[in-house]
Amino acid sequence: MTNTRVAIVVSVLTIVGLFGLGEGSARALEGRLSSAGEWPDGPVAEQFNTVLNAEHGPSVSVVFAGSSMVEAGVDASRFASLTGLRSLNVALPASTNFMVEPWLVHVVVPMLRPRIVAIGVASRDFNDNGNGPADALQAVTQAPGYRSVVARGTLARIDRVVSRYSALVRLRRELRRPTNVLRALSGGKPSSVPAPCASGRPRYAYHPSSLVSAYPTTVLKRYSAGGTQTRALIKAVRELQRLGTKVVLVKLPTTSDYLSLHPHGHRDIVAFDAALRDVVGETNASLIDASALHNKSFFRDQIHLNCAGAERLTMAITREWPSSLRKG
Amino acid sequence: MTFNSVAYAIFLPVVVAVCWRLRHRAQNVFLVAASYVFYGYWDPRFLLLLWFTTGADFVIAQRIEGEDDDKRRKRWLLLALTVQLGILGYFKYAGFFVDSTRVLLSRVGIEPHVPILRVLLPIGVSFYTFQSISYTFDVYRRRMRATRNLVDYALFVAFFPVLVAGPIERARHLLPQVARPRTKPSIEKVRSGVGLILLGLFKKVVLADAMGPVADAAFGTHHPAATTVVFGAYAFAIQIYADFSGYSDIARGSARLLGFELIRNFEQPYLSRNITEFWRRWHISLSTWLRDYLYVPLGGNRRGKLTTYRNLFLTMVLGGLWHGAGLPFVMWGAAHGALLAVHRWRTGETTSSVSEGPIRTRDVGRIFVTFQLTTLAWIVFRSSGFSQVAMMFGGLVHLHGASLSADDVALVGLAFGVMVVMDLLQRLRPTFEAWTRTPRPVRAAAYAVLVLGLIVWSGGSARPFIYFHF
Repeated sequence: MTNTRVAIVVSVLTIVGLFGLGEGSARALEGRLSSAGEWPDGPVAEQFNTVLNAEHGPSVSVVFAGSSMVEAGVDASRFASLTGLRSLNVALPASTNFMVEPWLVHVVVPMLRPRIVAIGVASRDFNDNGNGPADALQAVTQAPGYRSVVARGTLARIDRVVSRYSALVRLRRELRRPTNVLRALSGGKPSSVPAPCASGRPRYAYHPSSLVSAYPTTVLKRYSAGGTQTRALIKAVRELQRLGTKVVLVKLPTTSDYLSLHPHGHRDIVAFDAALRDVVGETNASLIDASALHNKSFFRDQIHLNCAGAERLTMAITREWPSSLRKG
Repeated sequence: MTFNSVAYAIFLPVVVAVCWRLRHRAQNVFLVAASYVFYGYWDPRFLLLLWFTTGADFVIAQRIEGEDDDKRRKRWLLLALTVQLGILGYFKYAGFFVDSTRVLLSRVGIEPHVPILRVLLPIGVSFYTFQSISYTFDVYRRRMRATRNLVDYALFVAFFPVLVAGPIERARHLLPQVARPRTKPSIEKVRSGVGLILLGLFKKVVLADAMGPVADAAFGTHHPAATTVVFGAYAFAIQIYADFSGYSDIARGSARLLGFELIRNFEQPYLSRNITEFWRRWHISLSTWLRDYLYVPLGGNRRGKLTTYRNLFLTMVLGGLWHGAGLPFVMWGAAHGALLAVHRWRTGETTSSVSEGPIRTRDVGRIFVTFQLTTLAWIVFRSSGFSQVAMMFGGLVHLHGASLSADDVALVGLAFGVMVVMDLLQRLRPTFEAWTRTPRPVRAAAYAVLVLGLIVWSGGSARPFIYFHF
């Protein structure tokens, strides 16, 4: 072989070696890199990591979505063991009905293709005048991670196909953050995504005092149900159904103290019930009423269940799960 | 259409492929049409101004050449300058001056009923206007003949690799390449062209676009800590260099594939040992333009030391103003003018006499100081107004305040390291011919690293090139 040929062969091997090294390194770090910088906050990033990891694992049959109430209150692995349906809790703290479409229709369902989506709802999700939901929605929909997931067009499609096979492409956003790479190299892991009580302690800290003081002026401010939040949920459920996904709505439990946070007390709950009935009537979605769990000993605060409460709620959902949606 | 877009990735190969199937004259017609498509992609209305400038300068240059009487020649030159600078002035500065006048008058109690002027700035107008002025001037000074071929002249003005953000080509350099038949580039030329495009994309996508958000974050804070100002300024220094030199590399690479050679716009400016050397290496096409068409006509260094310092200062202030109508640009130009004048006073060195020898260990300190001075000036350049300039410089003494994330700081450090390594390698291998002497596997590894960088940093929101604003 001439010198030129040797040089060409060595060059090709160098290129292949470097690309192999890049791809191999990315694969080695996969699962240890966090997507936090791509999303508005840590919990959303963690939930996206949950979805991302599940995308490459065995198929998921049921996803549980909703706010922190679902995140704290539904033990997806317990549900899976009881029903045989592989399940995942993808609830987003601070989410309301506004978030169902962007998160489920545009991110979770296209990535995981679940057969069933169970959306936990409470009166807080239906308030049209709350001043937190719109900000939370905007924070997610403006986030680079969200925008890249929902990007349309030929390039985005090619990108998604290549991402399926190349960890280097799939993880490139995470690889751009030096501290993330350093943490992953030193063996650190992003917070794993256990079932809420698998470790025997809450995954997120919820603060009853701040909740009580903030809700009447934020999430439940000038409470009014039946408007934009209700329509957003109807639209999202229809979109999910159009994608071939069955939708189950789960009415979540709260303590009796929760009522005092509502500006108009019981009248607000009546308005919420009416709005929820509208959603069911308009979409034909299944409804599980799991709200009859009021004992304070099952709650960390007015709305977030503790581990015992999560066990109770999960059992209640399993009991009431529509027979048509059971395995087989 | 920007160089870092998918549209351009399709456009360039198609243009190159079609171009080399045509004869010379047809090539020029085709390239003019392609350039208009490239330019009209932003806004077809911009083409009207480009056509007007092209037509006016083409005719006036011939008039200048046809006149023997010096007074008449001068009148034609003045007409050309009035048209060229009038267009530039109206589109770039009219809004600023009307608004400033309104503010000044209202401060003395007069409320003028002048409508708010919102003029759409045609992209690249500063670049092609300066290119046209160089042509008219050179014809006037009898340094070159006026072209009789409108297509050739149109291609000189609108040649798409240089149209939007330079390099500001001289007519004496580019027009002959347009007029004479070009030979199909050799495989080496194609390789070097593609290599330049790859290098330019790397600078833009990996370095500039990574530094952009860091600089935005630093300059977007209201009470920055000293570290925020320092790292924000470094981030912007890297961003503007990588962005603009990346653009110039892609322009040169694209032109090379079409058989043209453009002038080098950057030669590792941050490895300069003093401010005079910096201006020999930074935005070379603009700095030499300012030297030839502003500094020298003002008298240059021929009328004593004080006049020289004044000319340096004035030239740089106007150079700052070229970037846009705004106090920060003027202050930036003034700062560089003052630094150049001080350096001239202390050493007597000019841009042509300044040392260009290899970098030695003893130069490191001078390079460091020069980089700090240019970075301080970038703080002024990047600021939105005088109040932000004051806030950022004030932040330099604040230990507490808004800080950047650890990721941002680490990214600035990494980008700085990559930039220095790239510049040192380019200093060692300044031409493509020198680069080809590097062993093939080393070159292959370098290209693979560039592509790997592009893979990791692609897919984000592509930022427009900074110099499009100017």
